[in-house]
Amino acid sequence: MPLKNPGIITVPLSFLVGIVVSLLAPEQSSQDAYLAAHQRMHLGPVGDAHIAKH
Amino acid sequence: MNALTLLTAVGAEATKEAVKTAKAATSLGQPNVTAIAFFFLFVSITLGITYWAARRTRSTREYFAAGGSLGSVQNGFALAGDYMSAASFLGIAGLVSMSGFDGLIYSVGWLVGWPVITFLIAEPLRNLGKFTFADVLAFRLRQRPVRIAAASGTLTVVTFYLIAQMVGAGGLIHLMFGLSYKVAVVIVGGVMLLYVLFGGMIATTWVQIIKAVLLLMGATLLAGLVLSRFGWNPLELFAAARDRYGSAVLAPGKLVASPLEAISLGIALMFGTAGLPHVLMRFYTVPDAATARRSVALATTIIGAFYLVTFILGFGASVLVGRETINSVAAGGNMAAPLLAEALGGTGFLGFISAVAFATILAVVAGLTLSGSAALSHDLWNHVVCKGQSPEHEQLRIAKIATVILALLAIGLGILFKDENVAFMVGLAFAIAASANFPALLLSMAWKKFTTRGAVASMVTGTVSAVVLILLSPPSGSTSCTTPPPSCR
Amino acid sequence: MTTSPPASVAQSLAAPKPITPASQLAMGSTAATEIADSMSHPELAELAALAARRGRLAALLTTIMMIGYFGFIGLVAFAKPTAGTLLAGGRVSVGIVAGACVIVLAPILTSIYVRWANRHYDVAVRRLRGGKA
Repeated sequence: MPLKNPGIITVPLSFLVGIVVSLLAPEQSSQDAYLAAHQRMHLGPVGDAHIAKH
Repeated sequence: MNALTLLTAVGAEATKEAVKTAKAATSLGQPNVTAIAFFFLFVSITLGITYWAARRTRSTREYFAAGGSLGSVQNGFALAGDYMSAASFLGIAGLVSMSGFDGLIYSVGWLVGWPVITFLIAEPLRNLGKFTFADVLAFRLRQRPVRIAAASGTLTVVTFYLIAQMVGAGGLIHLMFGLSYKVAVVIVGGVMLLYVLFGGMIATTWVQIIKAVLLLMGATLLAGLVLSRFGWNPLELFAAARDRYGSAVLAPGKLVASPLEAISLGIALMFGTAGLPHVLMRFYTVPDAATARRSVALATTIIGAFYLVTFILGFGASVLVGRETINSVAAGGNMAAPLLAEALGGTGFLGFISAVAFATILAVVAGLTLSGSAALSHDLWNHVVCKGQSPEHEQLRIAKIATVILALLAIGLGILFKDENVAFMVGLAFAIAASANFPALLLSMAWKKFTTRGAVASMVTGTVSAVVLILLSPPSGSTSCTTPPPSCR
Repeated sequence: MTTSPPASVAQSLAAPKPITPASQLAMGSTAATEIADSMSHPELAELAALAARRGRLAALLTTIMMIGYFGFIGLVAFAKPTAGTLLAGGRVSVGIVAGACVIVLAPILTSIYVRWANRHYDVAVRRLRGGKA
């Protein structure tokens, strides 16, 4: 490979492999937990002492 | 005996230079009283802080995340301090001094990852994780596989980045203070170990804040001294450089040989920043996502301003010190900024800038070591080996053992890889961070259908492909270096 | 030419289509039930809308940054003579001005995002969290 820095190949490749492998074998538990992750991503760890401050 | 060989070397250098130009006399490389005084002042203050921090570091949350109690200004400066390495300060100023415009390509590349972190990473990372970015993946994927893969990616990046910093540090300190390479590496590793081992994230943060403030002050003052000679107008400075070296100094030069190469490096720099474990870890030191967001915005501003200042320093050095002199002291121009400080502010200012460069290395190395320690203790020991059941005091003990091992490893590898090209190592670290960590992190936060297997496959592919392709890459012995600093030798 | 594959990926990922509360509830999993228990329908809808808005802004700003950066790299790599063209009486080049602009663009874009988030996002998040407590 004539590149000194492989970023242009390895970064898209890494995305591609992650996506293709995920699509080939779906994982129900990950999809279910995504909703909780999605909520927490925006609202933060809801329900601990932290929220009482607001 | 080191001082003796050094004096001889400097003497020879000076004689050679005296033939070429009368301006070549520099005290750089000789033990500099001001530099040593400033360095001891810095080390004693930071060790004092470490002592104070040690008494406040009892839990893993305090050790790894400073108790999540930092404000946005503190974390903003600490992020900037974590990122502005000696490579960017000395290396970019040096590259600009030797080749003009080309240095700007790196400055821009090293900055543009920060907005990406702000928009895509910082807030979700803060809300989903605890100490490491593997926490984010483990939130909805299966703990053990993703933690093993993420910790491997982290440790690979940390190792290559540590080697680059240590090798750079040894070379720079040897040049600046006249210490031998090995002694310099051992001192950096030893002092860093004290900070991280006893003071954890609290001490590391304060070292980074102090270093960031000193570096900004020193660089800005130096740029001010340069601009004062050109009517406070950067354009006059550029014009002076053009008069001396021709208009090529303001245009793209040899650095960008092929467009594909430039874009490839650009991708690695932009997304690599968003995958650096020691940078990501800093977002856990603040209480909430809003503070994380404000801190990364402040860091972006500080780093951007710093790179503009560095560009001025490079041109200032090429005009006021001269390329021949800079290159005679260290090939590649890494000593441009210290030489400029000496030319404009005398030996005292040279000492200050040298001590700041030393402090810069310490802060970066401390942050790296702490993130490696978190991967080993929090991810591998607690969650993989003990399935999350390890008691608090045991996690802390493992973290400290990991810190000692990493420090010894850094010292050992720093000595072993003495002649390794630093540019090569930094490029490798960024390429691995961009391809191993960033895609999995982004997909796990944004894509509902992402799976454990997908994450592990992505991280393994990223690490392996980046390492293999770099090993197969052409040797960087040509006219240009892949990344400038700290030693394009 | 300056658009790289990650651009499109990042863009499409960062701006997920708003998930309707109905589809979230239809999941019937523990996580979904948890959320359904703790958040009302309108709140879930509001969260989805908020997430979509944040995602769109983040994708837009990331795209602008990437166009600016890869535009600069493209200028330097593909149009060297243009980048070397002198301006302002020969005291500065197009390349230097472009590079400085990209450096200044980064803090400007982040401050646009921070301003929006401080004013709108935080308020909405506080309301949603408050509704839960």
